[in-house]
Amino acid sequence: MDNTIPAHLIDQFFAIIDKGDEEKARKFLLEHLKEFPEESKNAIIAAFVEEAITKQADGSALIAALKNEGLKTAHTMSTFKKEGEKQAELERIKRGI
Amino acid sequence: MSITEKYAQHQKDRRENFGEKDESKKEIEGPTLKEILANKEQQDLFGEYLETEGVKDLGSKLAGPRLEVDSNDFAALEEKRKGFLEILDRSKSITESLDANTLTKLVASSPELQTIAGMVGRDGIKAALSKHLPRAAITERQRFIDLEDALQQMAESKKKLDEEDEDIKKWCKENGIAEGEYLELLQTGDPEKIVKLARSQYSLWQKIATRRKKQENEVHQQSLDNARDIEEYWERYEADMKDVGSLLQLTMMENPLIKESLVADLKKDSPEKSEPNMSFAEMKEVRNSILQTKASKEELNSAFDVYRRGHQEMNDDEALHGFSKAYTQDKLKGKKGFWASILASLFSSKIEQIMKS
Repeated sequence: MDNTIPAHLIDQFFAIIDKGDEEKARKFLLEHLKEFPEESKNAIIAAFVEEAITKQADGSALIAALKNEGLKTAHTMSTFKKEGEKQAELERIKRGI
Repeated sequence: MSITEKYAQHQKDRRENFGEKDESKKEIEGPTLKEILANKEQQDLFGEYLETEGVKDLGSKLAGPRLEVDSNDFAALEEKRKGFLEILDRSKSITESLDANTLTKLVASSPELQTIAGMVGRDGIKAALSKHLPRAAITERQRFIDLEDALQQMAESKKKLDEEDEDIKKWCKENGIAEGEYLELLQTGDPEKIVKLARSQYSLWQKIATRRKKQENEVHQQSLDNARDIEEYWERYEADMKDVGSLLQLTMMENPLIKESLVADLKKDSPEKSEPNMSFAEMKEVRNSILQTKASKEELNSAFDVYRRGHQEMNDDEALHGFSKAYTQDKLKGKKGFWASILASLFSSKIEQIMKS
């Protein structure tokens, strides 16, 4: 099976790279996906999947860490509030309020 | 370090980091040597594996148009078959870990993947991966390892996120923080307002976290004599608790705009752990440095001569194809990310095009 990419496709893509237009370059890959030979088409699809997986993994790890930190603060605050309320109650009793 | 050694080391790291089972002694099922050699696609892939393992003469024999191997070669090939099957097995595990649910979420997270799914379907995406990953595992090992790690991290984070969600719900309930404070705003679907909400809540959280650390130290010294001060203090405290609860509720939202905004803010605050991905601008530089110099054709020709001498069993077309791939892999060694993958798949065709001109 010939897996050579047609010259015109590479040339068009490299011309977009020369213009420095990243968004257009990504769009080009999607719009012309079916014109690429099987092997390159699979590699392009895999690149998009790989990027989405990495983004998801990084994002999930960051959000999990934020939740963890937020939960620690939340638990410390509620424990502290309960202690403060107890202390205030004791003070009120002591003063006969 | 050979590819097999590198993967073995990576598996050992994963066992230590993620508590994975040691399956290095597991018998991997897969095609027999006879079956591999009877299938040109498998045979070529096995040849590429042997080249990366440093067994270039055998690799070259497998890549040639006619298979000419003797009994000594068979014994050596049989010995290398296990390592080859292990790598195929690892790439199969990746495709299998992308079950329907994970793939649906992944596609939903990326408008570009939605376009691809519209063209080839979700099964088409999986099929593309099944065909691409075995080769990537052999020729682009670092990227493959990174992908394995990202999937593992995704699964680990999901487990952690689910547990944390339960804890958040419980804490909010116990502390009287109403659920769904943002639902009304989310229903408007106004992206500007949603992002503004996520950003302001995150910034509020940072202020509260700093203030709380400071106040926890101060409060013990605070006099309880002044009832109004105490009342004001606790009012503020309760307002902060409500804001912490709101931020936590926000982190549970599946809304992609909220997630993106939070992740962008969090990224700013956390240092980059690994080497950054190849950027679009860097890809342009790499391409220019190789293809737009006057010496490029000469350099390519002399590199091809060296390759040709080591691959005499191949015909001209096969040698040119093999060389373009090997040259591309060498030039992109250590580069990762979307643009490195794209350049890797387009670059070898461009090199072939230049060499034929």
